Amino acid sequence: MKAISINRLSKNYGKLAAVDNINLDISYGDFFGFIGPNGAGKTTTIKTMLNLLNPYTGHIKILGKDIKLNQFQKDIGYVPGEASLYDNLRVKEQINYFGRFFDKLDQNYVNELKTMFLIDDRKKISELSLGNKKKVAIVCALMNKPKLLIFDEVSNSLDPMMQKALFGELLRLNKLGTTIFFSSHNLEEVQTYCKNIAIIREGKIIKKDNVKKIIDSNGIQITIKTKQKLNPGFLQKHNIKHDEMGTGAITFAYKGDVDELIYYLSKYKLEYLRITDVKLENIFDEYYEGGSDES
Amino acid sequence: MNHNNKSYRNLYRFEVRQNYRSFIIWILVIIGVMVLFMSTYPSFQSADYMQLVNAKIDALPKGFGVAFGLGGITGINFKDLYFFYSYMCQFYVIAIVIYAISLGSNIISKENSEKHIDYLATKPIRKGTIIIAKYSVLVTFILAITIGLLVAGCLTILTLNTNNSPFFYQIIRLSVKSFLVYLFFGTLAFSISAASKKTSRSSLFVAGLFFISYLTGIISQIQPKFESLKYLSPFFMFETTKAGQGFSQQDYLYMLALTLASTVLVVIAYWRYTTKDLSL
Repeated sequence: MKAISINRLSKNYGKLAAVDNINLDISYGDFFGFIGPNGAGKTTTIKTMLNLLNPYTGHIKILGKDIKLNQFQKDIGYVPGEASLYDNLRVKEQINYFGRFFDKLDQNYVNELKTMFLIDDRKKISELSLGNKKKVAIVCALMNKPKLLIFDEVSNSLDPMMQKALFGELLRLNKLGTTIFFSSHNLEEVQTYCKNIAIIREGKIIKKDNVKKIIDSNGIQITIKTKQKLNPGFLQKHNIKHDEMGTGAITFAYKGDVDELIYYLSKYKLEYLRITDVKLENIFDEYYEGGSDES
Repeated sequence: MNHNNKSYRNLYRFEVRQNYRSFIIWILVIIGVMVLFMSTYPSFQSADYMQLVNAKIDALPKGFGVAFGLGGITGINFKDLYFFYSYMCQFYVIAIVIYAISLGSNIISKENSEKHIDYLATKPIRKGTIIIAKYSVLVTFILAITIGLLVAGCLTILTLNTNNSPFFYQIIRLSVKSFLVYLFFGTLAFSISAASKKTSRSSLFVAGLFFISYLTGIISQIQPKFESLKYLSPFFMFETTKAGQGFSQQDYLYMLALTLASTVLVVIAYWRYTTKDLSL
Protein backbone atom coordinates (compact mmCIF):
# COMPACT_ATOMS: atom_id res chain seq x y z
CA MET A 1 0.00 0.00 0.00
CA LYS A 2 1.24 3.48 -0.88
CA ALA A 3 0.92 6.74 1.01
CA ILE A 4 -0.06 8.44 -2.23
CA SER A 5 -1.23 6.60 -5.30
CA ILE A 6 -2.09 8.63 -8.39
CA ASN A 7 -3.38 6.66 -11.33
CA ARG A 8 -3.79 8.19 -14.80
CA LEU A 9 -4.69 11.60 -13.44
CA SER A 10 -5.68 14.35 -15.85
CA LYS A 11 -7.05 17.77 -15.04
CA ASN A 12 -8.12 20.33 -17.59
CA TYR A 13 -8.91 24.02 -17.31
CA GLY A 14 -11.12 24.48 -20.34
CA LYS A 15 -9.06 23.16 -23.25
CA LEU A 16 -5.78 23.49 -21.37
CA ALA A 17 -4.48 20.23 -19.92
CA ALA A 18 -2.91 21.34 -16.64
CA VAL A 19 -2.15 17.75 -15.65
CA ASP A 20 -1.92 15.15 -18.37
CA ASN A 21 -2.33 11.48 -17.53
CA ILE A 22 0.16 11.24 -14.69
CA ASN A 23 0.95 8.23 -12.54
CA LEU A 24 2.73 8.61 -9.24
CA ASP A 25 3.22 6.23 -6.32
CA ILE A 26 4.79 7.45 -3.13
CA SER A 27 5.70 4.96 -0.43
CA TYR A 28 5.08 5.37 3.28
CA GLY A 29 8.01 7.12 4.95
CA ASP A 30 9.23 8.80 1.78
CA PHE A 31 10.51 12.37 1.70
CA PHE A 32 9.37 13.25 -1.78
CA GLY A 33 10.15 16.34 -3.79
CA PHE A 34 7.85 17.45 -6.57
CA ILE A 35 9.58 19.92 -8.82
CA GLY A 36 8.88 21.71 -12.05
CA PRO A 37 8.83 25.17 -13.59
CA ASN A 38 6.03 27.67 -13.01
CA GLY A 39 2.77 26.51 -14.56
CA ALA A 40 4.01 22.92 -14.89
CA GLY A 41 1.03 21.52 -12.94
CA LYS A 42 2.46 21.09 -9.44
CA THR A 43 -0.21 23.00 -7.54
CA THR A 44 -3.00 21.53 -9.66
CA THR A 45 -1.73 18.02 -8.91
CA ILE A 46 -1.55 18.78 -5.20
CA LYS A 47 -5.01 20.35 -5.07
CA THR A 48 -6.47 17.42 -6.99
CA MET A 49 -4.78 15.01 -4.59
CA LEU A 50 -6.46 16.87 -1.73
CA ASN A 51 -9.89 16.71 -3.38
CA LEU A 52 -9.99 20.51 -3.70
CA LEU A 53 -10.17 20.05 -7.47
CA ASN A 54 -11.99 17.28 -9.29
CA PRO A 55 -9.91 15.14 -11.61
CA TYR A 56 -10.94 15.09 -15.26
CA THR A 57 -9.89 11.45 -15.38
CA GLY A 58 -8.06 9.13 -13.03
CA HIS A 59 -8.09 7.94 -9.45
CA ILE A 60 -6.20 9.04 -6.39
CA LYS A 61 -5.73 7.23 -3.12
CA ILE A 62 -4.30 8.93 -0.07
CA LEU A 63 -3.15 6.65 2.77
CA GLY A 64 -4.92 3.79 1.05
CA LYS A 65 -8.30 5.52 0.84
CA ASP A 66 -9.99 6.89 -2.25
CA ILE A 67 -10.00 10.69 -1.87
CA LYS A 68 -13.68 10.81 -2.85
CA LEU A 69 -14.52 9.12 0.46
CA ASN A 70 -13.17 12.20 2.27
CA GLN A 71 -11.64 10.11 5.03
CA PHE A 72 -7.99 11.08 4.69
CA GLN A 73 -8.10 14.62 6.06
CA LYS A 74 -7.70 13.68 9.72
CA ASP A 75 -4.35 12.06 8.93
CA ILE A 76 -2.78 14.75 6.77
CA GLY A 77 -1.36 18.22 7.12
CA TYR A 78 -1.28 20.68 4.23
CA VAL A 79 0.36 24.05 3.73
CA PRO A 80 -0.74 25.80 0.52
CA GLY A 81 1.55 28.07 -1.44
CA GLU A 82 -0.27 31.13 -0.17
CA ALA A 83 -0.58 31.60 3.56
CA SER A 84 -4.14 32.92 3.38
CA LEU A 85 -5.30 32.73 6.96
CA TYR A 86 -8.16 34.66 8.58
CA ASP A 87 -6.81 38.18 8.98
CA ASN A 88 -9.27 39.22 11.68
CA LEU A 89 -8.30 36.40 14.05
CA ARG A 90 -5.51 36.28 16.57
CA VAL A 91 -2.92 33.55 16.02
CA LYS A 92 -4.20 31.62 19.03
CA GLU A 93 -7.80 31.75 17.76
CA GLN A 94 -6.68 30.62 14.32
CA ILE A 95 -4.76 27.64 15.68
CA ASN A 96 -7.57 26.71 18.08
CA TYR A 97 -10.19 26.94 15.32
CA PHE A 98 -8.36 24.50 13.06
CA GLY A 99 -7.42 22.36 16.06
CA ARG A 100 -11.06 21.82 17.02
CA PHE A 101 -11.63 19.89 13.78
CA PHE A 102 -9.51 17.06 15.18
CA ASP A 103 -10.71 14.59 17.77
CA LYS A 104 -7.44 14.41 19.66
CA LEU A 105 -4.80 17.05 19.74
CA ASP A 106 -1.60 16.98 21.77
CA GLN A 107 -1.63 20.48 23.21
CA ASN A 108 1.95 20.10 24.44
CA TYR A 109 3.11 19.44 20.89
CA VAL A 110 1.17 22.47 19.64
CA ASN A 111 2.95 24.59 22.26
CA GLU A 112 6.28 23.05 21.27
CA LEU A 113 5.63 24.00 17.66
CA LYS A 114 4.76 27.57 18.63
CA THR A 115 8.04 27.81 20.54
CA MET A 116 10.01 26.13 17.74
CA PHE A 117 8.73 28.63 15.16
CA LEU A 118 8.91 31.62 17.52
CA ILE A 119 5.22 32.37 17.20
CA ASP A 120 3.58 35.07 19.31
CA ASP A 121 0.02 33.76 19.49
CA ARG A 122 -1.42 36.99 20.87
CA LYS A 123 -0.86 38.85 17.62
CA LYS A 124 -3.52 39.31 14.98
CA ILE A 125 -2.94 37.46 11.71
CA SER A 126 -3.26 40.76 9.84
CA GLU A 127 -0.27 42.11 11.80
CA LEU A 128 1.99 39.28 10.69
CA SER A 129 4.52 39.34 7.87
CA LEU A 130 4.17 36.81 5.07
CA GLY A 131 6.87 34.64 6.63
CA ASN A 132 5.16 34.66 10.03
CA LYS A 133 1.82 33.77 8.44
CA LYS A 134 3.55 30.84 6.78
CA LYS A 135 4.85 29.74 10.17
CA VAL A 136 1.32 29.75 11.60
CA ALA A 137 0.15 27.73 8.59
CA ILE A 138 2.97 25.23 9.23
CA VAL A 139 1.93 24.88 12.88
CA CYS A 140 -1.67 24.31 11.75
CA ALA A 141 -0.47 21.58 9.38
CA LEU A 142 1.76 19.81 11.90
CA MET A 143 -0.42 20.08 15.01
CA ASN A 144 -2.37 16.85 14.47
CA LYS A 145 0.84 14.79 14.05
CA PRO A 146 -0.21 13.74 10.55
CA LYS A 147 0.86 10.56 8.78
CA LEU A 148 1.26 12.53 5.55
CA LEU A 149 2.43 16.12 5.12
CA ILE A 150 1.83 17.94 1.86
CA PHE A 151 3.54 21.26 1.26
CA ASP A 152 3.29 23.54 -1.71
CA GLU A 153 6.44 25.67 -1.82
CA VAL A 154 6.62 25.70 1.94
CA SER A 155 9.96 27.40 2.49
CA ASN A 156 9.11 30.48 0.39
CA SER A 157 9.23 33.57 2.56
CA LEU A 158 10.81 31.76 5.55
CA ASP A 159 14.12 33.12 6.78
CA PRO A 160 17.11 30.70 6.84
CA MET A 161 16.75 30.07 10.57
CA MET A 162 13.11 29.10 10.22
CA GLN A 163 13.88 26.97 7.17
CA LYS A 164 16.40 25.12 9.30
CA ALA A 165 13.85 24.70 12.11
CA LEU A 166 11.23 23.49 9.65
CA PHE A 167 13.40 20.95 7.89
CA GLY A 168 14.84 19.81 11.21
CA GLU A 169 11.33 19.02 12.40
CA LEU A 170 10.38 17.45 9.08
CA LEU A 171 13.42 15.16 9.19
CA ARG A 172 12.53 14.16 12.75
CA LEU A 173 8.94 13.38 11.75
CA ASN A 174 10.12 11.56 8.64
CA LYS A 175 12.34 9.33 10.79
CA LEU A 176 9.26 8.53 12.89
CA GLY A 177 7.45 7.40 9.74
CA THR A 178 5.67 10.52 8.48
CA THR A 179 5.53 10.70 4.71
CA ILE A 180 6.45 14.10 3.33
CA PHE A 181 5.49 15.36 -0.11
CA PHE A 182 6.54 18.81 -1.07
CA SER A 183 6.79 20.93 -4.16
CA SER A 184 9.56 23.46 -4.36
CA HIS A 185 11.55 25.72 -6.62
CA ASN A 186 14.46 25.55 -4.23
CA LEU A 187 16.34 22.62 -5.71
CA GLU A 188 19.10 22.84 -3.14
CA GLU A 189 16.66 21.96 -0.36
CA VAL A 190 15.14 19.22 -2.51
CA GLN A 191 18.60 17.73 -3.06
CA THR A 192 19.45 18.05 0.63
CA TYR A 193 16.31 16.52 2.13
CA CYS A 194 14.45 14.43 -0.42
CA LYS A 195 14.85 10.70 -0.97
CA ASN A 196 12.88 10.65 -4.21
CA ILE A 197 11.70 13.23 -6.67
CA ALA A 198 9.44 13.67 -9.64
CA ILE A 199 9.84 16.38 -12.23
CA ILE A 200 6.69 17.67 -13.88
CA ARG A 201 6.67 19.75 -17.04
CA GLU A 202 3.66 20.87 -19.06
CA GLY A 203 1.44 18.59 -17.00
CA LYS A 204 3.49 15.44 -17.55
CA ILE A 205 5.87 13.65 -15.22
CA ILE A 206 9.10 13.62 -17.17
CA LYS A 207 11.33 12.03 -14.54
CA LYS A 208 10.84 10.24 -11.26
CA ASP A 209 13.67 8.64 -9.44
CA ASN A 210 15.79 8.39 -6.36
CA VAL A 211 17.67 11.64 -5.74
CA LYS A 212 20.98 9.90 -4.99
CA LYS A 213 20.65 7.78 -8.10
CA ILE A 214 19.95 10.81 -10.25
CA ILE A 215 22.89 12.69 -8.81
CA ASP A 216 25.23 9.69 -9.18
CA SER A 217 24.12 8.99 -12.74
CA ASN A 218 24.86 12.56 -13.70
CA GLY A 219 28.53 12.33 -12.83
CA ILE A 220 30.44 15.04 -11.09
CA GLN A 221 30.48 18.77 -11.30
CA ILE A 222 33.80 20.36 -12.22
CA THR A 223 34.67 23.99 -11.80
CA ILE A 224 38.00 25.14 -13.21
CA LYS A 225 39.72 28.41 -13.83
CA THR A 226 42.52 28.77 -16.33
CA LYS A 227 43.85 31.50 -18.59
CA GLN A 228 44.51 28.96 -21.33
CA LYS A 229 42.02 28.07 -24.08
CA LEU A 230 40.42 24.67 -23.53
CA ASN A 231 40.53 22.05 -26.24
CA PRO A 232 37.09 22.18 -27.92
CA GLY A 233 37.39 18.56 -29.08
CA PHE A 234 37.31 17.30 -25.50
CA LEU A 235 34.34 19.51 -24.64
CA GLN A 236 32.41 18.31 -27.67
CA LYS A 237 33.28 14.65 -27.06
CA HIS A 238 31.75 14.76 -23.59
CA ASN A 239 28.87 17.04 -24.58
CA ILE A 240 29.96 19.57 -21.99
CA LYS A 241 27.82 22.63 -21.88
CA HIS A 242 29.89 24.90 -19.76
CA ASP A 243 28.96 28.10 -18.03
CA GLU A 244 31.26 31.08 -18.02
CA MET A 245 30.95 32.44 -14.50
CA GLY A 246 32.14 35.95 -15.40
CA THR A 247 35.43 35.51 -13.54
CA GLY A 248 36.84 33.15 -16.10
CA ALA A 249 35.74 30.06 -14.13
CA ILE A 250 34.04 27.28 -16.09
CA THR A 251 31.54 24.87 -14.53
CA PHE A 252 30.39 21.68 -16.22
CA ALA A 253 28.91 18.28 -15.43
CA TYR A 254 31.21 15.40 -16.32
CA LYS A 255 29.99 11.84 -16.81
CA GLY A 256 33.07 10.33 -18.51
CA ASP A 257 36.13 8.52 -17.26
CA VAL A 258 37.79 10.31 -14.33
CA ASP A 259 41.33 9.27 -15.38
CA GLU A 260 40.73 10.80 -18.81
CA LEU A 261 39.54 14.01 -17.17
CA ILE A 262 42.60 14.24 -14.90
CA TYR A 263 44.89 13.56 -17.88
CA TYR A 264 43.10 16.24 -19.88
CA LEU A 265 43.22 18.83 -17.09
CA SER A 266 46.89 18.10 -16.35
CA LYS A 267 47.78 19.77 -19.67
CA TYR A 268 46.59 23.10 -18.38
CA LYS A 269 47.88 25.42 -15.76
CA LEU A 270 44.85 25.64 -13.46
CA GLU A 271 44.28 28.56 -11.15
CA TYR A 272 41.34 26.83 -9.51
CA LEU A 273 39.80 23.35 -9.46
CA ARG A 274 36.69 22.21 -7.59
CA ILE A 275 35.03 18.80 -7.85
CA THR A 276 31.57 18.32 -6.28
CA ASP A 277 28.43 16.29 -6.82
CA VAL A 278 26.30 17.56 -9.66
CA LYS A 279 23.66 19.95 -8.41
CA LEU A 280 20.03 19.05 -8.99
CA GLU A 281 19.68 22.53 -10.38
CA ASN A 282 21.94 21.60 -13.33
CA ILE A 283 20.07 18.36 -13.93
CA PHE A 284 16.74 20.09 -13.68
CA ASP A 285 17.88 22.56 -16.33
CA GLU A 286 18.70 19.61 -18.56
CA TYR A 287 15.22 18.09 -18.11
CA TYR A 288 13.58 21.44 -18.48
CA GLU A 289 15.32 22.06 -21.77
CA GLY A 290 15.50 18.51 -23.07
CA GLY A 291 13.27 15.48 -23.48
CA SER A 292 11.89 13.01 -20.98
CA ASP A 293 12.91 9.56 -19.86
CA GLU A 294 9.39 8.31 -19.29
CA SER A 295 5.94 9.07 -20.48
CA MET B 1 -19.75 13.07 19.91
CA ASN B 2 -20.04 12.24 16.22
CA HIS B 3 -17.11 13.77 14.37
CA ASN B 4 -19.33 15.37 11.72
CA ASN B 5 -21.43 17.05 14.40
CA LYS B 6 -18.28 18.33 16.08
CA SER B 7 -16.96 19.79 12.82
CA TYR B 8 -20.39 21.27 12.04
CA ARG B 9 -20.54 22.98 15.44
CA ASN B 10 -17.00 24.27 15.13
CA LEU B 11 -17.64 25.80 11.72
CA TYR B 12 -21.10 27.09 12.73
CA ARG B 13 -19.75 28.87 15.81
CA PHE B 14 -16.83 30.23 13.82
CA GLU B 15 -19.06 31.66 11.10
CA VAL B 16 -21.40 33.19 13.69
CA ARG B 17 -18.41 34.89 15.30
CA GLN B 18 -17.16 36.06 11.90
CA ASN B 19 -20.50 37.62 10.97
CA TYR B 20 -22.13 38.85 14.17
CA ARG B 21 -20.55 42.33 14.06
CA SER B 22 -22.10 43.24 10.71
CA PHE B 23 -25.39 41.73 11.93
CA ILE B 24 -25.40 44.00 14.97
CA ILE B 25 -24.70 47.07 12.84
CA TRP B 26 -27.50 46.23 10.40
CA ILE B 27 -30.10 45.44 13.04
CA LEU B 28 -29.28 48.52 15.13
CA VAL B 29 -29.44 50.83 12.11
CA ILE B 30 -32.73 49.34 10.91
CA ILE B 31 -34.31 49.42 14.37
CA GLY B 32 -33.08 53.00 14.77
CA VAL B 33 -34.67 54.05 11.48
CA MET B 34 -37.87 52.21 12.40
CA VAL B 35 -38.11 53.87 15.81
CA LEU B 36 -37.40 57.28 14.27
CA PHE B 37 -40.09 56.77 11.64
CA MET B 38 -42.61 55.44 14.15
CA SER B 39 -41.93 58.37 16.46
CA THR B 40 -43.50 60.61 13.83
CA TYR B 41 -46.79 58.70 14.16
CA PRO B 42 -48.35 60.99 16.82
CA SER B 43 -47.94 64.00 14.52
CA PHE B 44 -50.16 62.23 11.94
CA GLN B 45 -53.04 62.13 14.45
CA SER B 46 -54.09 65.70 13.88
CA ALA B 47 -57.07 65.83 11.46
CA ASP B 48 -55.68 68.93 9.72
CA TYR B 49 -52.32 67.34 9.16
CA MET B 50 -53.87 64.10 7.88
CA GLN B 51 -56.01 66.12 5.47
CA LEU B 52 -52.88 67.88 4.24
CA VAL B 53 -51.00 64.58 3.76
CA ASN B 54 -53.92 63.03 1.86
CA ALA B 55 -54.19 66.09 -0.37
CA LYS B 56 -50.47 65.88 -1.15
CA ILE B 57 -50.67 62.15 -1.88
CA ASP B 58 -53.71 62.65 -4.13
CA ALA B 59 -51.74 65.27 -6.05
CA LEU B 60 -48.92 62.83 -6.80
CA PRO B 61 -48.87 61.03 -10.15
CA LYS B 62 -50.08 57.44 -9.70
CA GLY B 63 -46.76 55.94 -10.77
CA PHE B 64 -44.84 58.02 -8.26
CA GLY B 65 -47.16 56.90 -5.48
CA VAL B 66 -46.76 53.28 -6.52
CA ALA B 67 -42.99 53.56 -6.48
CA PHE B 68 -43.16 54.71 -2.88
CA GLY B 69 -45.57 52.06 -1.73
CA LEU B 70 -48.77 54.05 -1.98
CA GLY B 71 -50.05 52.50 -5.19
CA GLY B 72 -53.53 51.06 -5.47
CA ILE B 73 -54.45 52.39 -2.10
CA THR B 74 -58.05 53.34 -1.86
CA GLY B 75 -58.02 54.46 1.70
CA ILE B 76 -54.71 55.76 2.91
CA ASN B 77 -55.00 56.01 6.62
CA PHE B 78 -51.88 57.03 8.42
CA LYS B 79 -54.01 57.31 11.54
CA ASP B 80 -54.13 53.53 11.61
CA LEU B 81 -51.04 52.54 13.58
CA TYR B 82 -50.67 49.18 11.87
CA PHE B 83 -51.07 50.77 8.42
CA PHE B 84 -48.40 53.26 9.40
CA TYR B 85 -46.11 50.45 10.58
CA SER B 86 -46.61 48.20 7.56
CA TYR B 87 -46.09 51.13 5.17
CA MET B 88 -42.66 51.64 6.73
CA CYS B 89 -42.00 47.89 6.61
CA GLN B 90 -41.69 47.80 2.84
CA PHE B 91 -38.61 50.01 3.11
CA TYR B 92 -36.85 48.13 5.84
CA VAL B 93 -37.63 44.90 3.97
CA ILE B 94 -35.49 46.25 1.10
CA ALA B 95 -32.64 46.91 3.53
CA ILE B 96 -32.84 43.45 5.08
CA VAL B 97 -33.05 41.75 1.68
CA ILE B 98 -29.81 43.53 0.76
CA TYR B 99 -28.29 42.32 4.04
CA ALA B 100 -29.48 38.74 3.35
CA ILE B 101 -28.05 38.85 -0.19
CA SER B 102 -24.74 40.19 1.05
CA LEU B 103 -24.47 37.59 3.82
CA GLY B 104 -25.65 34.70 1.63
CA SER B 105 -23.09 35.54 -1.02
CA ASN B 106 -20.15 36.49 1.22
CA ILE B 107 -20.37 33.51 3.51
CA ILE B 108 -19.36 31.34 0.54
CA SER B 109 -17.45 33.68 -1.75
CA LYS B 110 -15.16 35.16 0.89
CA GLU B 111 -13.88 31.68 1.70
CA ASN B 112 -12.91 31.29 -1.95
CA SER B 113 -11.69 34.78 -2.79
CA GLU B 114 -9.45 34.88 0.27
CA LYS B 115 -8.38 31.27 -0.35
CA HIS B 116 -9.33 30.08 3.14
CA ILE B 117 -11.06 27.14 1.54
CA ASP B 118 -7.67 25.52 0.83
CA TYR B 119 -7.21 25.23 4.59
CA LEU B 120 -10.79 24.53 5.60
CA ALA B 121 -11.53 21.78 3.07
CA THR B 122 -8.34 19.92 3.95
CA LYS B 123 -9.38 19.65 7.60
CA PRO B 124 -11.52 16.70 8.70
CA ILE B 125 -14.83 18.16 7.58
CA ARG B 126 -17.00 17.03 4.69
CA LYS B 127 -17.87 19.46 1.92
CA GLY B 128 -21.54 18.75 2.66
CA THR B 129 -21.03 19.71 6.30
CA ILE B 130 -19.35 22.98 5.23
CA ILE B 131 -22.30 24.02 3.08
CA ILE B 132 -24.90 22.98 5.66
CA ALA B 133 -23.12 24.82 8.47
CA LYS B 134 -22.81 27.97 6.38
CA TYR B 135 -26.46 27.85 5.32
CA SER B 136 -27.48 27.33 8.95
CA VAL B 137 -25.62 30.53 9.84
CA LEU B 138 -27.45 32.41 7.07
CA VAL B 139 -30.83 31.16 8.32
CA THR B 140 -29.88 31.96 11.91
CA PHE B 141 -29.02 35.58 11.13
CA ILE B 142 -32.09 36.09 8.93
CA LEU B 143 -34.28 34.61 11.66
CA ALA B 144 -32.55 36.72 14.30
CA ILE B 145 -33.01 39.96 12.36
CA THR B 146 -36.69 39.09 11.72
CA ILE B 147 -37.32 38.32 15.40
CA GLY B 148 -35.32 41.37 16.47
CA LEU B 149 -37.43 43.64 14.30
CA LEU B 150 -40.63 41.89 15.35
CA VAL B 151 -39.83 42.53 19.00
CA ALA B 152 -38.72 46.11 18.33
CA GLY B 153 -41.86 46.69 16.22
CA CYS B 154 -44.13 45.27 18.93
CA LEU B 155 -42.49 47.39 21.62
CA THR B 156 -42.72 50.53 19.50
CA ILE B 157 -46.37 49.90 18.65
CA LEU B 158 -47.16 49.06 22.30
CA THR B 159 -45.69 52.41 23.26
CA LEU B 160 -47.78 54.24 20.65
CA ASN B 161 -50.95 52.15 20.72
CA THR B 162 -53.29 54.41 22.59
CA ASN B 163 -56.58 52.83 21.51
CA ASN B 164 -55.54 49.20 22.17
CA SER B 165 -56.44 47.98 18.69
CA PRO B 166 -55.28 44.36 18.08
CA PHE B 167 -51.99 44.36 16.22
CA PHE B 168 -49.92 41.44 17.49
CA TYR B 169 -51.10 38.81 14.97
CA GLN B 170 -50.89 41.32 12.14
CA ILE B 171 -47.23 41.99 12.89
CA ILE B 172 -46.51 38.26 13.24
CA ARG B 173 -48.10 37.66 9.82
CA LEU B 174 -46.06 40.45 8.32
CA SER B 175 -42.89 39.05 9.91
CA VAL B 176 -43.56 35.54 8.56
CA LYS B 177 -44.05 36.94 5.05
CA SER B 178 -40.98 39.11 5.23
CA PHE B 179 -38.85 36.28 6.68
CA LEU B 180 -39.67 34.16 3.63
CA VAL B 181 -38.72 36.99 1.29
CA TYR B 182 -35.37 37.54 3.06
CA LEU B 183 -34.75 33.82 3.09
CA PHE B 184 -35.52 33.47 -0.60
CA PHE B 185 -33.13 36.21 -1.72
CA GLY B 186 -30.47 35.19 0.82
CA THR B 187 -30.72 31.59 -0.40
CA LEU B 188 -30.60 32.69 -4.03
CA ALA B 189 -27.34 34.58 -3.42
CA PHE B 190 -25.99 31.69 -1.35
CA SER B 191 -26.83 29.15 -4.05
CA ILE B 192 -25.34 31.18 -6.87
CA SER B 193 -22.16 31.61 -4.82
CA ALA B 194 -22.07 27.92 -3.98
CA ALA B 195 -22.82 26.78 -7.50
CA SER B 196 -20.70 29.10 -9.60
CA LYS B 197 -16.99 28.89 -10.23
CA LYS B 198 -16.40 32.61 -9.90
CA THR B 199 -18.33 33.51 -6.79
CA SER B 200 -17.34 37.12 -6.23
CA ARG B 201 -20.07 38.72 -8.36
CA SER B 202 -23.03 36.73 -7.05
CA SER B 203 -24.17 39.41 -4.59
CA LEU B 204 -24.25 42.06 -7.33
CA PHE B 205 -26.13 39.70 -9.62
CA VAL B 206 -28.76 38.81 -7.01
CA ALA B 207 -29.11 42.43 -5.90
CA GLY B 208 -29.83 43.21 -9.56
CA LEU B 209 -32.45 40.47 -9.68
CA PHE B 210 -33.97 41.81 -6.49
CA PHE B 211 -34.35 45.33 -7.86
CA ILE B 212 -35.78 43.94 -11.10
CA SER B 213 -38.39 42.07 -9.05
CA TYR B 214 -39.10 45.28 -7.12
CA LEU B 215 -39.61 47.18 -10.37
CA THR B 216 -41.77 44.34 -11.68
CA GLY B 217 -44.04 44.83 -8.67
CA ILE B 218 -44.29 48.55 -9.40
CA ILE B 219 -45.02 48.00 -13.10
CA SER B 220 -47.72 45.46 -12.25
CA GLN B 221 -49.51 48.11 -10.19
CA ILE B 222 -49.13 50.98 -12.65
CA GLN B 223 -50.23 49.05 -15.74
CA PRO B 224 -53.31 46.84 -15.27
CA LYS B 225 -52.33 44.75 -18.31
CA PHE B 226 -49.16 43.73 -16.50
CA GLU B 227 -50.97 42.87 -13.28
CA SER B 228 -49.91 39.24 -13.47
CA LEU B 229 -46.28 40.37 -13.14
CA LYS B 230 -46.94 41.01 -9.47
CA TYR B 231 -46.51 37.28 -8.86
CA LEU B 232 -42.86 37.70 -9.80
CA SER B 233 -42.39 40.28 -7.11
CA PRO B 234 -42.18 39.43 -3.43
CA PHE B 235 -43.39 42.98 -2.77
CA PHE B 236 -46.79 41.87 -3.84
CA MET B 237 -46.95 40.44 -0.33
CA PHE B 238 -46.39 43.84 1.20
CA GLU B 239 -49.22 45.78 -0.32
CA THR B 240 -50.12 48.15 2.42
CA THR B 241 -53.79 48.03 1.42
CA LYS B 242 -53.79 44.48 2.73
CA ALA B 243 -52.13 45.51 5.93
CA GLY B 244 -54.91 44.67 8.26
CA GLN B 245 -56.05 41.50 6.51
CA GLY B 246 -55.16 37.97 7.47
CA PHE B 247 -53.44 35.45 5.17
CA SER B 248 -55.45 34.94 2.00
CA GLN B 249 -55.30 31.74 -0.04
CA GLN B 250 -53.04 33.63 -2.43
CA ASP B 251 -50.73 34.49 0.45
CA TYR B 252 -50.49 30.86 1.46
CA LEU B 253 -49.70 29.86 -2.11
CA TYR B 254 -47.09 32.57 -2.40
CA MET B 255 -45.46 31.60 0.87
CA LEU B 256 -45.46 27.95 -0.15
CA ALA B 257 -43.86 28.88 -3.49
CA LEU B 258 -41.11 30.89 -1.74
CA THR B 259 -40.44 28.03 0.69
CA LEU B 260 -40.26 25.50 -2.12
CA ALA B 261 -38.03 27.75 -4.21
CA SER B 262 -35.66 28.25 -1.28
CA THR B 263 -35.58 24.50 -0.64
CA VAL B 264 -34.80 23.72 -4.28
CA LEU B 265 -32.04 26.36 -4.26
CA VAL B 266 -30.47 24.83 -1.16
CA VAL B 267 -30.52 21.36 -2.72
CA ILE B 268 -28.85 22.73 -5.88
CA ALA B 269 -26.27 24.57 -3.75
CA TYR B 270 -25.49 21.39 -1.80
CA TRP B 271 -25.14 19.29 -4.94
CA ARG B 272 -22.95 21.80 -6.78
CA TYR B 273 -20.76 22.64 -3.80
CA THR B 274 -20.02 19.00 -3.06
CA THR B 275 -19.12 18.26 -6.67
CA LYS B 276 -17.46 21.41 -8.02
CA ASP B 277 -13.80 22.48 -7.86
CA LEU B 278 -13.54 24.26 -4.53
CA SER B 279 -10.19 25.87 -5.11
CA LEU B 280 -9.02 27.75 -8.17
